[in-house]
Order: sequence, then C-alpha cells, then structure tokens
Amino acid sequence: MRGYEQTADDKQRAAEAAADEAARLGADGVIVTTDAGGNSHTDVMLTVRASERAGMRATVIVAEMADPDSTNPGLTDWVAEADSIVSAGNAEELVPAWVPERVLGGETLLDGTPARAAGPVPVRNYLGATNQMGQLALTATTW
Amino acid sequence: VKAVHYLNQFFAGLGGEEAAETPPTRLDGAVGPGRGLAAALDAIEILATLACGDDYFAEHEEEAVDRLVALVEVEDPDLVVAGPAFGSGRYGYACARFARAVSERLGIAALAAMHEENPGVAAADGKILIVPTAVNVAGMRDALPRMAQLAGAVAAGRELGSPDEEGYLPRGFRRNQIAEKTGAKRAIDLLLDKLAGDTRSEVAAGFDRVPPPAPVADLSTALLALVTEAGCVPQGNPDRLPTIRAQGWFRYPIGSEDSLLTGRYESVHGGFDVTLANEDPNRLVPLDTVRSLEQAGRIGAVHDTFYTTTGNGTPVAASTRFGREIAEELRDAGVQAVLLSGT
Repeated sequence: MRGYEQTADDKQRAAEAAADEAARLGADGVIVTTDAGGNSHTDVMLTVRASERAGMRATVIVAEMADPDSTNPGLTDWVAEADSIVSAGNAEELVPAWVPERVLGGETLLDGTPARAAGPVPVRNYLGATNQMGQLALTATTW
Repeated sequence: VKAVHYLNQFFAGLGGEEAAETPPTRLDGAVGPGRGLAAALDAIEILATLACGDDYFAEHEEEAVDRLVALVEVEDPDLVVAGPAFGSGRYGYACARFARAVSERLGIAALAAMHEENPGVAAADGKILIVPTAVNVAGMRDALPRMAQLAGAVAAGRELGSPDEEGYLPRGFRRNQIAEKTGAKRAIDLLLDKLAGDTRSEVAAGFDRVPPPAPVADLSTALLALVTEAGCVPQGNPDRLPTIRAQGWFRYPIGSEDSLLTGRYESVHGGFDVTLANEDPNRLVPLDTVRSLEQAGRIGAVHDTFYTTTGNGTPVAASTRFGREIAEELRDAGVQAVLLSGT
C-alpha cells in the first residue's frame, strides 16, 4: 500500500480490492505493509479495516513518525481494527551528530557548509533504517 | 545538591480534611515523608518543604501554582520532588501541576511519585518524571528509596535510561531500540497470536481526533482566510518551501487579486501530480471562487494574505504547531472563518 491514490474513493476502492484479493486466495490473515508514511497511513488503515470486515485478521508493519520530544501519535491515521501493529521504528528520532573520518564527493556543500560538519539528523535520513517490509529488527518503545 | 519537597496538608502534618483549605505554605527542611526521603537521598539536601491544602489547590489552581513556583524560586534549588501521592487524585494532580510548572517556568528538574492511574499522570503529559507507587500509603516504605534513586540520577545530570531501567512511568515518547527478531518475524508472531485470539500491538491504540468547529454564524459578514497544505507558493518558490517534511509555513499577500494567475503560482508539494494544479493554481487555493462569493455578498471579505505549507511527511506534532501558529495570526487579524484546502 502506498499513498498514491489521490481521492478518498480511490483509497477506499484500492483497500477493498486488496482485501478481496486476499479473501479470494483463502487467507485467514493478512499483513499490511507500506513503503511510505503520512498519506500512506490512510491507505494502510483502510486496508486493515476492509480486511477485517471481509472476515480476515490483519496485522500491520509501519514506521512511526513521532516527534521524539512530544507525546504525540506517530501515525497520521488510525482505525480501531488496527490493534496489531509492528513498529519498524520511529523515523523522527534524532541520531546524535557524528563526524565522519572521510568525506566523499567534496569537502564543502553548495551553501558553503563544511561537508564534515554534520549535526543530529532524523533516522529517516538513513535510507531504509525503518524498513517497513520488516527486514530489520528496529522497533520503538514508549519512554 | 539542593532540593525542595512538596506535600499536601495531611502529609506535611498540618491536619486532615479540616486543614484542606491551607494556602501554599513554606516549612523549614524535611517534613513527614520528607524525613524518610532525606534519609534515602545521597548528597541531596532538602532545604524546605512546601505544602498546600488539597481543597485550596483544587479551588485556586492557578494562584496556588503561581505562589508555589514563587516560593521555589526563592529557594533556588537544583531539584524539586513532589509526593508520593499514591492513588489520591487531588493530591496527585497538585503534585503533577506543581512539578510541571516548576520545570516549565523555572527550568528546574522536577519529579513526582504517584500510582500509575492517578489523574496526575495525565496532567503531567510527559513533562516531568513520575515514580510509580502503590495505590495507598502502605507503599511509602517502597516508594521513598525509589524516589531517592531517581532524584540522584536526575541530580547527577546524566542522560536517563529507559523507564524500566530507571524506575519511572513511561512519558509517551517513542524511542528506537533493536528488537530480538526482525519486523517480519514479529508481524508473523502478532498475526498468529491475533488469529488465536490474543491480540497484541507494539503501537498503542489511540489517535487524536479533532472535533469539527461550530458553523460560522453569518458568513456574509465574516472575514475569511485561505489556508492550504497543498504546497502553493509564488512561481519559483522564493522561500524554498520543502516538497516534503516542511519545517514551517509561509504567508503570501493576495491583496485585491481576483484569482491566482497561472504562471504566477505553483505547487511544490511532493505527494501528488501537480500538473493540473499548476495549470490553475485556484484549484489549490480557491481565490477565484471565494472572490465571486465575496462579490455576491455571501462572504463578508477575503483576508489579504494566504497561508501555505506542504502537508506530506509531516509528523503530527509539527502539524499541530503549524496549525496553532497560523490560527493565532488569523485570530489576531480578526479572521472568523478559514477555508483549508487539503490534498
């Protein structure tokens, strides 16, 4: 599921089509994944709901987008049927600054900043770190 | 290290319910449970005890907090400790409000102790550390050393470990860690368990649903503002609004223009195909339509500035901040209605 569907109707239709396909295969359960965030959370949630209403049980793998210093929901949409969610980690958590030994591709950024002068960056900038296909062991817990 | 301790009238020895109207009061040194706490503290001295009656606090909340914070300021401690309040709702709430105010207004580290279901936990909203205790005073002997231990960790200024390691209630922050199994294996486990009737989740249920506001009483006299998350900016994106994960928002004047002219505005939103939107930017920010409604007398007036951001890949906390900031400006400008175009 990815949030490429532009309208609410299309999102609903895509969710029901996915659930229909799983039901046709005779599935008792489905695992819903996505490769994006934000908008895609709506596609995921609608697919969970459609799957549950079609008589299957649904589990989700999703990366959270929770501000590390706020008590805020890390998903931009949620339905009551989404009661079985695997967290692929919090993509907004900041990785502390570190200085690389060696910089490839030039010593200075276009705006004049030294390429080596890195600050803290969110986990999402580490491509694939919050893998939503479940390939990695990263998760998030409540502190 | 210097500390100030907060207690209610009962634990401060001022009396029971008959003393519940006691206003904020300062007592020298450690009092009541504070003596046990002082004995458990390592290299932390309790300079003073502040006490307030539970009824007084409930009935004069803002004033009580102000006075208590002022009393803390005089003592200039490094640390403030409140409770333990156990399951007492009024006392726990007062502990949380007081400790949170000290932390937020004075920047002084503050912690409280109470039962995990005490309403004070919600009032703290993750802003202070709370040591979990038993539901009643029988848990005093257990609570004090654990409060002292966490106070020591806070006073040392070191970065705290997880709630389990340090002995405080989870505040609601989502922190990464490496699980024993991959996400895929955990998903299979969760799904099989759910099929067997044991439903579990790594992400707590719940979501921030925003209730719709009341209808605008009379649009024909209302000042209406246009706000969008469609990434609509002047052509060329002079302020470099990001295409995704915006860190803020911009405002642009529309003056007395009748519509957003093609070629003068564009969308930089990275979450949808902007071709049609760029052919007619009014489909992002419907100035043409609201102008015609204004001319027909159905809208009082259109605000002379529109507000814009890109609303994709934005955490809820950031979106909430954008909304609050924009709403404050609009309210100050006397705007009574907002047309928010989403994508």
